[in-house]
Order: sequence, then C-alpha cells, then structure tokens
Amino acid sequence: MNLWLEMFQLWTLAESDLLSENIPYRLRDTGQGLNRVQAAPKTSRMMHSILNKAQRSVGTWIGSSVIHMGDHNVPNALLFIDKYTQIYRILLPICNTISQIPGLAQKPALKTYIDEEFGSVENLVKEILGDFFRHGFDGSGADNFFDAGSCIDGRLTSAWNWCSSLEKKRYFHVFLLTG
Amino acid sequence: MLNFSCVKPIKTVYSVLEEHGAVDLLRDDLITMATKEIYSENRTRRDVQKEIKSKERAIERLAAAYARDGLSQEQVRQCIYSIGDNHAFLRANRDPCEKMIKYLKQYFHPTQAKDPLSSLAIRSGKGGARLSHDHSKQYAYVLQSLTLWREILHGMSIPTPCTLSCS
Repeated sequence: MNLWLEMFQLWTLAESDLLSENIPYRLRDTGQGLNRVQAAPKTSRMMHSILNKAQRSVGTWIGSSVIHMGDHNVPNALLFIDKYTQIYRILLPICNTISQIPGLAQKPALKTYIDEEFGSVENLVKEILGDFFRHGFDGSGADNFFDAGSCIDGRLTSAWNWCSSLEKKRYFHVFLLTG
Repeated sequence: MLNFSCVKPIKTVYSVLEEHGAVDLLRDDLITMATKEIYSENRTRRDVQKEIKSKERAIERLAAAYARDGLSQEQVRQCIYSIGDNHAFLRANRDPCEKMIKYLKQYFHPTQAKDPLSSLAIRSGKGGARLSHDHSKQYAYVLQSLTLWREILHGMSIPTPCTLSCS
C-alpha cells in the first residue's frame, strides 16, 4: 500500500500543498508577473530530504543549500515542479549532440571541419562539456547573488542562462549539424 | 462561498485497481514486460519488432486476466499504459542527468586539470560568472548539482516495477 502512496510523491505533495485549506496564499507581483505566493510545507520537507540524500551521497557540499519556496523566486509548489521538469529540455539536446558527434565525424568533409576548428573530435566534446560545466553552473542568470548564486534553484537558473547564450558559442554549428 | 468543493481526489492506477480488487496486477511477473520501455538504439529492426510483439502479448494477457465486473479490459490496459508512461518520463527526464554525470566523470578529472580545455575553473566576473571556483571545487559543484537533479526527478515518479513487486 505504502508503495503506491510513494508514487509521484512530489506531484502528490505539491498538489496537496496547493489545494490545502490551511495554507493561505497571496496574489503578488513577484517581479516575474502576478503570482500565487503560497508556502508549500510538504513539498519543502520532501525536497529537504532529497537534498539530504544527495548531500550524503557526494560527501562534501559546496555552495549554499537554500531551497526557495513560497518566496519571490519560487512562489509556489507548481512553479517548483515546473522548474525541475524543464531539466531534460536543457540536458537532452546536449546529450544528443555529444552522442552524435562521432557519427558526424565519419563524413570526411565534416571531419576536416571539426579537426581544423576544434583540433579533434575529443577536443570538441571536451570544449562543449567543459563550457557547459563551467558556465551552466557559474551563478549567472539573476541580478544579485541571493537570487542566483549557488542556492539550490540558482543552479538551475545558471544552466538556463547558458542555454540562452548557446547560439553565440563557436560550437553552435555543431548543435545545428546534429539537429 | 461556492457551497461546493472544486477539489476531487485524484484517480491513480492504484486506487482504480484497489476499488476492483485487482491490485495483484502490480505483482504479476508479466507486468515488467508489459510496461518496459523498448529502446531502438544500436539494435536491429527485427529485435525491436520482436520485443514490441512480446510487450503487446503481455499487455493482452494481463488485460484478459485482470478484467472483471466493473473493470473492463480497456481500463486494465490504461493502467498498464499509465505505468509505462512513467518509465518514459524517467527516460526522458532522469536519464540525461545520468548521462551528464557519466560525461563529467569520463572527460574530466576530479582534481587535475593539465590544460585550459580540461579545466573547469571559473572566476567571478569572467564570462558572466558570479562565482569563483577552482577546478576541483567546480567539478564537485557540478557533480552534486546533477546528482541532486537526478534525485529530484526520480522523486517525481514511481519506483520501478521491480522494487514494487519485490517489497
């Protein structure tokens, strides 16, 4: 029985937080439009336990471990869920491109292009990944340290910000070539 | 205010099955086959076709076995598809996190960065960065962020049927 209560845990908790009759909400302009600002104690608790688990699995923790919820950054549980369901939109295209680069390099003309522009296939992959790992996680994407920086959802903000600058990178053509 | 409530409990696979005493469906050995995702990467068309066939057969057999008064075969099928959707969700959402973690470990060393290409160091103010981390610190920072995302996305979905039927 308990097994199925665990199902879609975060979704279920988020829903019960949003619909809770005990948690009042306020409609406020958060700087990102008019939002329902509502605390989400259940989702928050679950999130802290997930964070705890992740912290234990990697040993040391770097940066802030603040989880925004029910404030002007993450107004309510629905927006929280929405933020995290975007992750695959960021990571999937990068994974696809990386996995298709070896296939691309089998065409002589493209191999020449990659070798001349980036040195080698390996270097190209390293350049893309290195840039993402550096600047997808560099605290950028908001106007002050508290809002972006290293807090838990600020990490997401930086990754998002990286994507928006993708077309200015010199390896953007490789992304186009791999679809 | 409205004299009625707009809130109605969610219908889950479990609540539907429980209502009709068909919870054993979840413990059936065939459920793994019936809900698993079929990958086409690096596989021949014949292999994939074969797997699709056996998946369909498993779904049909389960639908026939667990349908009863008030619970049609179609509803059982819908429950099975629903569980399958969850696997698809995991694949699309959580797996890229895992892949990224794999790439990070494959292409970069946790502490050593011999050349600029292998270094993940960032400096506040450079390239839009707001944080200053040396290579090993940034490596750990990225690794822990990706690990956290994986855990969150996993928390958004159900445990695999295996853990379900074992416990």
